Amino acid sequence: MNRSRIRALGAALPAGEFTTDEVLNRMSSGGEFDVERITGIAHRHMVDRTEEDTLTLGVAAALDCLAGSGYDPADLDVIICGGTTVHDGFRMVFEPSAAGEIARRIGAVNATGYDVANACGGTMTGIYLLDNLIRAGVVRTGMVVTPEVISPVTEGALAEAVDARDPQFAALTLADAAVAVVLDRAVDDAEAVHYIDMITCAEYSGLCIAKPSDSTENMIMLTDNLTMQAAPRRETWAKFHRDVLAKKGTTFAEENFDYIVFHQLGVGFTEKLAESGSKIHGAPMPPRLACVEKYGNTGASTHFLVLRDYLSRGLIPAGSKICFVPTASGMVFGVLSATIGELVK
Amino acid sequence: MTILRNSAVSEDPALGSIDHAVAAARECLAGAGLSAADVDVLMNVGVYRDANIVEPSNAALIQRELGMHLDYEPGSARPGFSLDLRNGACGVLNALQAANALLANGTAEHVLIVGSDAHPGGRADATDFPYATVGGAFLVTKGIDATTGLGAVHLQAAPRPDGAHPGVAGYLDLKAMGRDGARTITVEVADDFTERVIGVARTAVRNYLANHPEAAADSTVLVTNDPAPDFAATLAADFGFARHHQADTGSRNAGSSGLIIAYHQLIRSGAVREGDQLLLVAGGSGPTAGCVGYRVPVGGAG
Repeated sequence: MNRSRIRALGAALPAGEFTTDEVLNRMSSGGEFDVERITGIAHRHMVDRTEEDTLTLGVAAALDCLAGSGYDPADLDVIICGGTTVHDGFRMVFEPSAAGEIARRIGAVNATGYDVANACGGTMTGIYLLDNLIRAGVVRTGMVVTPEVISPVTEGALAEAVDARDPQFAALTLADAAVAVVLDRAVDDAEAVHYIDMITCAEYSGLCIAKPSDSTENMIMLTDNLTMQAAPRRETWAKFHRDVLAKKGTTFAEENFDYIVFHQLGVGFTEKLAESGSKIHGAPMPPRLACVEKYGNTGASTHFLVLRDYLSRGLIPAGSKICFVPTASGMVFGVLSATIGELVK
Repeated sequence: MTILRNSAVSEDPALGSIDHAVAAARECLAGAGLSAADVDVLMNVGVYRDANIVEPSNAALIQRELGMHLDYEPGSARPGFSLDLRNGACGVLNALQAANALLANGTAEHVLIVGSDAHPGGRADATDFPYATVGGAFLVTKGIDATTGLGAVHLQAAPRPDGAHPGVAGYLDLKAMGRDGARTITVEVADDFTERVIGVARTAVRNYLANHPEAAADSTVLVTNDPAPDFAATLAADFGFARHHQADTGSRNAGSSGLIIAYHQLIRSGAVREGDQLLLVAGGSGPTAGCVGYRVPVGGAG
């Protein structure tokens, strides 16, 4: 049986940088929110929609990724685009796929392209499919590219959110970024995806809904943060991971992870996810990678954006074993265990 | 090999996209003697959705309505996972390829693929929306032998110069939508889409036949979605396919579930038997087209 490995990692950020105060100063609804104090988010990048969109960011991240991979675009068998939505200028696109267009623009002439949408779980969902395709021998090399353009719902919240319990609070924490990863066949344990497993607990699928507003001319996102972040949901990833490991005859402590990366929702939330992890696994959590204060919540791109940030600062050595924990609307939970090589060159 | 254990179609125009996916999924599972709890992975290939809801995945909303793995049961380690996979009318082929891999690896035992489309405002008769309000479902499982079932999926994108129309462009114009975005959609079909989609399908089929002699046209039934009038008939004439069937949803395009509907209609007509070789072909936006061979397994097909 083949295994896959994460071979390369790329990213792209919109040119526009803003402090949280600068974003909130544009609030026209009359609401007042202390987003920085509550979430720790101080800074973020947001697209200029006259010049940047899903396709431009996706192309930039894909090329950044390939530049360090030893692969040419023509080597890719498949490109899976994992963003929540596809924006082409001011159009929110449903067909054709963004992946097909990104493949065309970068010259991936042999790649099949399709999109997966699973809210903030989109990148992990793409990796889940690509890892399975590689393991089954259906493809040799593929890319998951996630250009996440989600600030349109921030604009909706700036126009509509009014009080402290507003369901649009979470939309004020969002920002834009793109990541791309190349996966190919693993050669040995030194660089490999050990496992990726995902679940959807659909009972909670109504807790976060993004759609066009009926009140203003915007996209909006309505989130029941209290219920989504309540203790039982914070523990789900760890209970699932514990059971996955039990099936393999091992435990979290025995896995000897060097680092853990949670979805970057806010400083306090990731601390609570880690606390729940320690409790359920009965083991201390490894060092946690976090950059939410710098980039905000960039949806499906957060895990690899934070990894890219640490790698580019030389803080993560090749050979590190990393536990990735997606948490997303749906609600989607999961775990990706991978030992990485020198991903960023 | 992987088989299409059952299929189902939902056609009541009064329903929305979620309702259609759920109705088709229920019928598909019931016909196979399974319940929603038996599904490991649900893939929704639907494109046009109720109220233009883009988060969570529509698959999660469909999963909830089905009552499939509503919450994680500690101790089970069972997947119960769902996702949206979008690639217009060809998404079902990408989903079949993924299902093949999930089953081969033992990641899943039962994969349910659903596709459905509806005008976001529930206007099934909207004249500027070309798609039928329908849904379809495939239940995909491992077969019992190595000679029948699905072959390898082949997809083909047509080369397209910068700035050229993708054939079909479906979008919500965020600048023009006003406060009616939840009920608005634009679908532009290029004037030359018919010839371009037939062209890319022709290339896909030619490449497939060159590598898969078992799908020889003179003994194979061609089964297609309906991106253009006489899509199946044109390809059948070009390659000499013995028989052909194209999805029929009246005057409207069958959309993301087109290939499922075509297969379902053909099987229910009683026109194919165990051992028959089918070639399933879909064409759509991009333009993109693809195909996969299917030998009808023992016991026929759903």
